[in-house]
Amino acid sequence: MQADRRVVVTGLGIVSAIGNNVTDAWSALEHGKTGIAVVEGFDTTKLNFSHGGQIKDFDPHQMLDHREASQMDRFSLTAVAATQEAVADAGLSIELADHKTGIILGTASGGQATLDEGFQNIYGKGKTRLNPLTVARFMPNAAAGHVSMKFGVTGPTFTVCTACSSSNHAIGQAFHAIRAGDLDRAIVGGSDCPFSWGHMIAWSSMHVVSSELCRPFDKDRSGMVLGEGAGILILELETAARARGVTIYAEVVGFGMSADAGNLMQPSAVGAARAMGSALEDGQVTPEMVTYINAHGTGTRANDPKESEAIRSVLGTYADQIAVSSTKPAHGHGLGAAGAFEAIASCMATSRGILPATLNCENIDPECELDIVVGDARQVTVDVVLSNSFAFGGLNAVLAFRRYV
Amino acid sequence: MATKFDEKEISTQIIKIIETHLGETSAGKITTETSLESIEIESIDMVEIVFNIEDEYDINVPLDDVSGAVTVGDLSDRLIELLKSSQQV
Repeated sequence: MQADRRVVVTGLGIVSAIGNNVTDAWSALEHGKTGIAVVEGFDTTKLNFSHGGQIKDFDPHQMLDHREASQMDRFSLTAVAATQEAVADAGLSIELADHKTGIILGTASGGQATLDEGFQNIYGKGKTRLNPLTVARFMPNAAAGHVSMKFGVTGPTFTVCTACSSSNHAIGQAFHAIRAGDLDRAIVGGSDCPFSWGHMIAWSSMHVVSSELCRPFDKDRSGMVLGEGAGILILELETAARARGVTIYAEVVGFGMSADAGNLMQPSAVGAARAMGSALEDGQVTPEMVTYINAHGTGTRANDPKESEAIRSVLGTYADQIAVSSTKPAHGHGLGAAGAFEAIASCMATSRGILPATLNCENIDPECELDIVVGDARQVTVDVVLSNSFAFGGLNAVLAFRRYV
Repeated sequence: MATKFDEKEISTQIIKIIETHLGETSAGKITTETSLESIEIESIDMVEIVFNIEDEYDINVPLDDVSGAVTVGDLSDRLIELLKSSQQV
């Protein structure tokens, strides 16, 4: 590791229920607006939930011709669109072709909507042929492949698949690769689009999706709400970013990972705490430096108390002085995109000094007794932000961002 | 008993499949004389177009059978040959 290689965020892009660009999405987070509504296009009376965070007014043909777009599942289309915004935001052009530019994207389910459509054709309509691009559309690495082709990136490119931690693992891998000297910049983040009938039934059957709204840390919380889309960040070597004179949103200072090695679906406070502690150690961050935690905060009965316990165990007496919120009630649980949505929120919070509120949290659960940001967004000077992601399978990944000075 | 194929109808249908594949900007611009190269049909496009032909006519179209096609007309000629041979079996 080369200690002098600092890593910064120079570009952001998003396609989500709260907006198809960062300006709209951040405005929604800042002003407490949600993108969650009754899911359109499906008969939700047959499901255990009716609400979700669907993208609105997304037109991939603004950047892709009909043939290019038809080769992609929605999780690739959104990733390419979010990358276009992030690359333009960072002002990258010829640097993209440099062999030290990489792409690391996360997804939980890849192109499951393509598979679902194929299954409907095979089992529902009795067809014996499928569209020949079925495999190319659903493979989880398709989004990364399309981003590399569209933007001419020829450096290391791959996909990370760790359910709801996918984006954080992707961002963290790239951060470490840049810090170590293996890369100079990277397109990172993730995408997932869970709104297909088969996938929605699978989620409905698990009984972790709320029948009403997502209320993280509230004593009456009843589960998560699904969201879709893509979040992309441009990570860059600090000296290169400064030489280009571009805006720097935040510095990435730490990344920590762990596995619970316990239960497939029940989270562990110990495992979560180890990932958080590891991120602090990696970034040489002490508890008093932490201003804000963008929590995993799914709003499920299981996650929120365990996450609160983990925060207390890692940050000790400083835990009460740290603001905590979950932005999932605004954009929905983006699954493989969740970490990217929340990394974007964390970078914007860091650069603007505004902490988004936890929507729908009205009565804080005594088991989650922390300084939960509720009501309006809070204005503060931010030092370090932690962004937590904990996945089914007990796979945890935590990022630490710091205000760039 | 062999069916008599309406060759004109098959050509029209293939043009429609190609237009659907290329998108609305190609509507009305493709004829049997159109070269596949001029409308930038690459191998990945051909695989999808052949799939849609197979789906429409419920036959198997080996890619080798259409790989030498230069024009849209060549494609429909190959398909007519295949349909005829499948009826003779």
